[in-house]
Order: sequence, then C-alpha cells, then structure tokens
Amino acid sequence: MNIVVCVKPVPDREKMYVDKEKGVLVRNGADMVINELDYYALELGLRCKDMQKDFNVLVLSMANHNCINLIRSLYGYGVDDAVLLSDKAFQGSDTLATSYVLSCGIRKIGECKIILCGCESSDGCTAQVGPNLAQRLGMKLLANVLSIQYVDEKKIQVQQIDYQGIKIVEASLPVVITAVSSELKIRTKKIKFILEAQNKDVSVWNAQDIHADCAQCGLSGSATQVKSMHVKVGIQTGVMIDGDQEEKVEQFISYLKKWKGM
Amino acid sequence: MEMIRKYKPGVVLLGSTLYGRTIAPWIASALKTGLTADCIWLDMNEGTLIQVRPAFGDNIEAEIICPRRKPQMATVRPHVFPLAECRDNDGTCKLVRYDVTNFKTDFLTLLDRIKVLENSQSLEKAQIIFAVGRGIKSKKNLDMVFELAVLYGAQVGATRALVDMGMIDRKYQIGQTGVTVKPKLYIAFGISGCIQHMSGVLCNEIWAVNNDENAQIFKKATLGCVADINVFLPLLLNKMKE
Repeated sequence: MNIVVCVKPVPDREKMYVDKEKGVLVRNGADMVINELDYYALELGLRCKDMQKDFNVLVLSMANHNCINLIRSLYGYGVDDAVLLSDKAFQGSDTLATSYVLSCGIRKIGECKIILCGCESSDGCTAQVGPNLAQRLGMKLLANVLSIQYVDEKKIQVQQIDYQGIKIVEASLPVVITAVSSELKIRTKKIKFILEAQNKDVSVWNAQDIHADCAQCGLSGSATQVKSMHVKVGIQTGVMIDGDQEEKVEQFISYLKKWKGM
Repeated sequence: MEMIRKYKPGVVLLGSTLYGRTIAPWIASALKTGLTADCIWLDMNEGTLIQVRPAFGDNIEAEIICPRRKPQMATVRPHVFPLAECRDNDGTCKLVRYDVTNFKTDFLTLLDRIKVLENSQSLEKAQIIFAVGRGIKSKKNLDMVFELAVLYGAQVGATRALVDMGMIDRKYQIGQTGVTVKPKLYIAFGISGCIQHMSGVLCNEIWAVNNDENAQIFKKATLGCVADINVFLPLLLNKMKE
C-alpha cells in the first residue's frame, strides 16, 4: 500500500523582500526550499511507515525540472520513492490545475490509500490543493491534522484541529490528510538513507506519462487570473523610540498613557 | 453543492475560517471553477468579481479574477467588512432556508475531544491586544506580559511559533491559522512580523518592541522600540505598577 506525500518547492522567504521605491518583489535568486508544512506531512507519512513496516512512502512534487536535487534530498529522510511531475504544460497552474496534475500523478502511482500534504504553502497560502485533491480522487478529507495515533490497511486515527479545539477521530481509508504545524518533532536525515539514495533516482514524469489532458493543466487549465499586482502605498516607518533602556521605557509609558487618554 | 446547482449563483462567498477554507476548495474543485483565498476586498465590475488578496508578503496586493467560469468563488477574511444586516425579502436580499437534516457523513467517528477551546471571540473583539512571539524567550517574560495586559486592560495574543513551542495555548493564536483580530491598538512584543501572523492583524495602530532593529515588524509599526525584552519588560512592569 502506498502513502503519497505531496511536497512543493517554494522560494526561501527569508531571502525575498519588497523594494518599496521600485514597487517590485526582489527574489534575489532566492533558493528553493521545501514548503515548511510539507515537512510535517512527510513526518506523518513516515510515522505511518514506522507503525506499518510494509507501507511504501513516496514523495510527489509538481515543479520545474531544476528542483530535482531538492526532491532527491528527501530520500535522506527514509522515503521509498520520489516522483517529479515536470512539463512546460504545467507552468502557470493555479490550484485547480495543480491538483489536476497531482491527481493524474497519484493515479499513475496507484494503490494509494493515504495522501498527505501540508495544509498550505508559504508562497501561495491558499490551503486549496489538499481539499481539491480529495474531491478529484473521490477520497475523504481530514484537514488540519496534528498527529497520527494509529493506522492499518483499513483505517486511521488522527488528532485534528477544529474550531472547538482538538479532537481524535477515526476514519476509513482512503483519505487525504492536510498537516498543520505541531509539537511533532520532525526527524533528521540519516546517513544510511543518504548513502542508499546515491543509487536511487527521482522518476520524472511529463504530461504524457501521467495521461494528463493539457487543456486542464497550466495556464489553460487555470480558472483564476492575476489581473494586477501592486505594492501597497502609504506604508511608512513609524516613530522610533530612542535613548537608553530607562528612557525608552519612560517614553513607551508616556505613549501608552497618551493613547489611553485619547 | 446542491444549492449552488439549484440556484446557479454568479458568485459564491465563504468565510475564510478553518471550516470555510476546508470546504470552499472542495466545492470549487467539484464545480471545476476558480477560488480566491483570503480576500481582503471585493468589487463588482460588469458581472466580474474583482478579488483582492495579499500576495508574496504583506506589502503586495493582487487583484484576481475568474473570467471564464462560474460561479466566481472566494473566501473572505473575517471582519474585513462590517456586518451587513439581512432583512428577509426587503428587496436587497433574499434569505433562503434549506433543509440539511438529510445530510450526514458516515466515514468519520469521533473518538474523543482532548482539548476544548474557550471562545476565542474575546480576542476577536478585543480593543487592545498585547501580542507575544518567539522573541519573548521565557515563561517569566510571558507572565509579565499577562500582568501588563491586566494592568492596561488589554487581551493577550500570540504567534503560531510561540504556540507550536508549547509556550502558550492555541486559543491565543492570531494569524492565518488562528483568529483574525481588529483591535484599536496592537502591541507586539518579540514578534518578527511575518505575513502569516500579520495577515491576521487588521489594525492601524501597531507598536512593536523587538531586539532586532531589522525585524519586519518595524516596517509596519507606527511606534517602534528596539530593546532587549529581558530588560524592557521588568522595567515597564515596575513603572506601570507605580
């Protein structure tokens, strides 16, 4: 039985900033990293494998071909296989088209009863691909999952966040799970796996390989369009309090008093 | 889904809440239409819904449209618009009642509830918020902020980072995966100011205390103070008590 963990390479946010004078986003050749929440999804997948040794954990990603080494590096965590979906036809996909492409990849992998992904990406922040995948694949959805308590071939027990707090639920498989950040400790890479990975390849599949209809991929398969982007105007740096520690606190308090008096 | 198929609306809007953000993409996928997440402004232009959302960090806004498919769907961040009053059939809106008693799920069994959140409404409605982030460093400092908040009549909020560290309960969490707040005054102690947190803060009066003068938060703050939290907080608390 396969567990598929969907991961997304995103630009390293730490290295991006907005040039307010020019009104542009400076990517500065920002390195690509794996979306942070996807590591929680990966950890959940690997914990399923810890509980059921015969489960197979695959990572799946739709990305530019130059992300191949980033995807390969995930073998170091102990995943069994890695698949990269890469084709010019996929470029410019919105969430609707992205989930279509991913679902085609998942169908090709086959025998998937658990699909995991980070709840949202740090660049798009839409949190749409997980629920979208569930709908497309006709699977049930467990959103905002903190941890997995039990899993076997037929069912899974998870801790899930909802608007009332945290609950423990049991669901029958197959399911799509979206992971949120938690106190879960994410494992580090193991030398043994890193060495083994040297003999492993990342499978690269294009649109034809996964029998994807190109009209449903990329820009042509996307329903939404970005009409315009603009840097918000009128943001200025405010007053900075100066002085030594004591003076700073004094001033801060006088601002607090002034504000309350208003 | 059934209602959308029956009434064929041009636009479908849901709240950008934990629940709304989960079911909206499922519905959009089933209808093969577009969905814009977390809108902060909406406009209609000849039948086209102009959807404005933050992108690539808090200083950029993107206008998104869904020109070829219907319905045009968006989730809207809570409290960005004032609550509208809906009177049934007054000519501007029509309230439709729909019987949902026949819908139920059978794949899921609730085994237990391990934590029940107190109502986060008090945070959502707070006029003054003292918010804390990773830079708060210690439990002792956190306690001091709580004490200050009581003295000043403020509520305490927190970033996800601090919640994930187990320093403070999730019910205090502000931001994309927490509550959206709309106070008159928001004071950030040891908060770097990343978009995931700040997008949950709708406030024109943001004050910040942080030891890193390059922290993002100072770009948003109307009043900033570069200071070591470990020294600043005890001094502030002592003087406030006087």
